[in-house]
Amino acid sequence: MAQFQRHCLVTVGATVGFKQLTEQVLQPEFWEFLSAEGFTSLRIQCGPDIGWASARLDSLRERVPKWLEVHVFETTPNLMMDEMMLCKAWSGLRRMGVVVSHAGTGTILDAWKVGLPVIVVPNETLLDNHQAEMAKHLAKEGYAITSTASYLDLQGAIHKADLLWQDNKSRWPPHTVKPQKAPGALRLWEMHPQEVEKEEDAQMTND
Amino acid sequence: MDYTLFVLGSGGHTKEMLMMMDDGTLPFANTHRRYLISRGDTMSEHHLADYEARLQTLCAQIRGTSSSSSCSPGTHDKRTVTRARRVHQPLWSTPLTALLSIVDIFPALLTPPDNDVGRALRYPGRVFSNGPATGFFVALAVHLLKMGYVIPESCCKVIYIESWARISTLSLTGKLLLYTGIADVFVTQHQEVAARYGVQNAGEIVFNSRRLDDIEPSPVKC
Repeated sequence: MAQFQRHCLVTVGATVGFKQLTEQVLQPEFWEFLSAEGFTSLRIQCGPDIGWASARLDSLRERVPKWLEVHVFETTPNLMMDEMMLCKAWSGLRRMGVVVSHAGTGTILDAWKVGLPVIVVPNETLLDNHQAEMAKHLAKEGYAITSTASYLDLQGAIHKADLLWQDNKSRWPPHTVKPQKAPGALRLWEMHPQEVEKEEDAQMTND
Repeated sequence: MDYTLFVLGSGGHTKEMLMMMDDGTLPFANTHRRYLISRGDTMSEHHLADYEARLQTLCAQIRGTSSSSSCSPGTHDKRTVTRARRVHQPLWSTPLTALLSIVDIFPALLTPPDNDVGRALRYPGRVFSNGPATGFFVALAVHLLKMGYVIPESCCKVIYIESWARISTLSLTGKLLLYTGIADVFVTQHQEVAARYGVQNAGEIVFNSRRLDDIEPSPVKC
């Protein structure tokens, strides 16, 4: 029987790394969960943590479930094309996967563009709270699910992401013509000094 | 005829700018886009090449499907400038690198594109920026050139769109532009930050971007 592929991509950003998250997704219990959910591949982009992460993976090799492939790597020049595309559903080959990411805006925007469910895990050890703020915003708007860097929370989030994805499906149906996907947002090409003022007037009359 | 300048800078800002541009707007006949890229920013170069290639493809698709319309993606060129401030660069050395970047910015603003658009329009009509430090120095250069009557007031309208990543506070570039008042249009992409500084919220313009399924639909999903 041909099994459908299903990919889970974990990404932590290229510069700082995110040790807590990398540790949690290298737990054999998490692997068993993924395998039970039909995932066939777990790919972890670890940044500077690649050294100990690959050592950890090597020491746990025999605990990797039979139908799951676990792979760690430092970074890749084009995360969107090289890795995210693997998470996309492909008729007869792959089921829709999931992206687990630190709350870096580049990754979030890429995942949105490819059209993938995203779980964001803000790195709370970073000094500024921009990541937490971004994670909150994404959850509020329904763009992503938030989770802490614990494999149990991640498992719950993966279940939730599947459900949320069904919602987003209907909110963002596939288009062939140019759509305005962000209702209420101005279009860059239509922004002129005068027209923005007009827009403001229009908004005021609407209010 | 239209000639527009885009200030790109660092991977994140460039990605957002190109997503805001890639909203399916066409045709771009008699339209010239000039990009300012910081020296050594290869990631922005790659993103830009992708964007321009997608625009070509979109035009070819439109030409292929409709018999009457001729779709043109317009023209574009790039100018490289010294980076105004590297990430983590000490603040004290910023004036020096900023000065070097301004030296590159003037000719980028004053040299018209070498094509029909450039022969008709000497200066860009609009200058778009979304957060890199270079954006402030471009706005400053525009301001100085207007003060010296080198370029007319009606040209080079500076349109600043704060980065989508800024939800509750402005970036340094945003603050500088707000407090100096040298941007002609100043908008943010979130209500919270707009309300805090009393500026206009333009909504999440990045999400006007075409998505991959719009560009090349994948086979039926299971």
